[in-house]
Amino acid sequence: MFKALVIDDEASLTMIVRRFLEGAGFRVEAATSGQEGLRKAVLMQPDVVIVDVMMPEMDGYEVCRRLRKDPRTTRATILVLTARGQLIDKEIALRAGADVHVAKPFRGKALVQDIQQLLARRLPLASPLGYQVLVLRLKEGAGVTTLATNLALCLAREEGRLTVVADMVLQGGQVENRLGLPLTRSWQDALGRDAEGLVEHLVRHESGLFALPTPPPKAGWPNPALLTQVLQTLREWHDYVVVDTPFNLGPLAPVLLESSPLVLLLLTPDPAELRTAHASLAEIKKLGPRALQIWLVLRMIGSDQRVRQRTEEILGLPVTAVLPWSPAECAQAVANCRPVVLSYPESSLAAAFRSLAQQVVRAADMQPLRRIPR
Amino acid sequence: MSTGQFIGLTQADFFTTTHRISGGTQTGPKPLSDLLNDRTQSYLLLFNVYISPLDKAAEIGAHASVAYLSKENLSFVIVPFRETRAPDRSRFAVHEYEALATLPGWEVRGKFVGPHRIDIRSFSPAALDAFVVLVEGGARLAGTSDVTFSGEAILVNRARLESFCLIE
Repeated sequence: MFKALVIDDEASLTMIVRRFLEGAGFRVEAATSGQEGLRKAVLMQPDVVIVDVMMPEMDGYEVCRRLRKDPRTTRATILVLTARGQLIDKEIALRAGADVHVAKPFRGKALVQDIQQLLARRLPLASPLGYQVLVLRLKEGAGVTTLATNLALCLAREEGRLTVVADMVLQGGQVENRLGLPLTRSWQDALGRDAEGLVEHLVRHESGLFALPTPPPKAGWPNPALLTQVLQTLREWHDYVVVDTPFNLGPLAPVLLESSPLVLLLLTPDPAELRTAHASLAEIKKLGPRALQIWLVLRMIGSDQRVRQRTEEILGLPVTAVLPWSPAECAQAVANCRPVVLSYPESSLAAAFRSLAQQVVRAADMQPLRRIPR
Repeated sequence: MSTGQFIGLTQADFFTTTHRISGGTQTGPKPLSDLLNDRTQSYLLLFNVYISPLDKAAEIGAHASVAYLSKENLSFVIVPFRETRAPDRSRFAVHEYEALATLPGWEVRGKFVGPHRIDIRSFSPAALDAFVVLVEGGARLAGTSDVTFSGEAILVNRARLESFCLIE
């Protein structure tokens, strides 16, 4: 049974919409203000929200914006009802995050049909828990943040999955810089002992990707128990959690590896790096879950197959993806705060990120549901 | 059931030279044009009113549960459905003209339905009806190319007309 939330300060209109929706088999809740509607949306996780634009205190556009900003409610289909039916009203409603703009007066049966069609078009939800991808590096400046942000963007935009990129690079604020997001306070300083209030620290990029940014913290490494809760909560709210990690995982290593079914190890075919990788792989396998998958992502100049084969022989694992060396595009993307898949969508590097995202989705779809206790 | 009919209010966008005022007015069984053309009453009462300055015409600048609206100072009114008392229902209304009206700050286009022979002087403010109905029309904020409003009927205040042209 689909769940609908009607947010309108006008009781007569709520009654009409409720009657039609309940007649079509929906479970309907109502709220008489934007604030009440937002609270109820978090609690009931509606499939569809029907919101009136013209409400005192908080108008329907602001309700749309807040629903979209919160990963717990961002999946809802949103219909905006308004007595203002001009083209500019529709544009502003869609910009605020609405899926459909319906001008009053409307016909109840047509409204219900529109809602049913919209719900039929939605992607089915993956699993109750999101799929966590850990992106690892073996040396500083390897391009892990570039890989993490571009992969996460592809999952969100190209694959249409609710995705968050979590920045665990404690000394940086790297993800904000790559995505051009405002620097916020450190989540670990602000959260204290538990993950309550985590939603306040998530930032929504214009692409629909969520980010948990981590500017320089005051307190060094986060408490592992808190990190466990943060990652668990992110997996509950999102289809995919892409974790950008520091070069040195320190005490975070067990928590990060235990909770991730997939590790992407970013490498260059440098002999010294390959030797380090060989030793690191043993450690990763020891700390990770039994079914852990490790994918090698090779960043290399040219397309010499012998380099790829040598890497695979040394590490005893297949190379899953090759990222072409594109220093000019990467530098420009960093300078413009617009990742490669947005700045240069036609480039071979962007194509490699898209292909990798498709492989991640296939791997996640094959994964049995994993519940990790809090 | 249509919600507009259920509530018994006519929802419309009222435009002045500076603001867009959206709200509902109690019209009962009559079309809005009858209320606007009633020269014995100089105002309308609007309910659940939202006001936007024209430079941010889609944003809600202010809200009021009720408002007094001076008919004299309106430039035009856009209703989302065709006015039932529009001239096309008249037995003399057999011809459709493209019409262009200019008002302070506005350019309004639409169809005027009237008799074959028409005296353009009949569009002067002295005419019986204070508001002239254009159907399937659009209004553009003069000086901008991208801000337009449209509706099934536009009721233009004759007293605010700078010019009125009929194009055969």
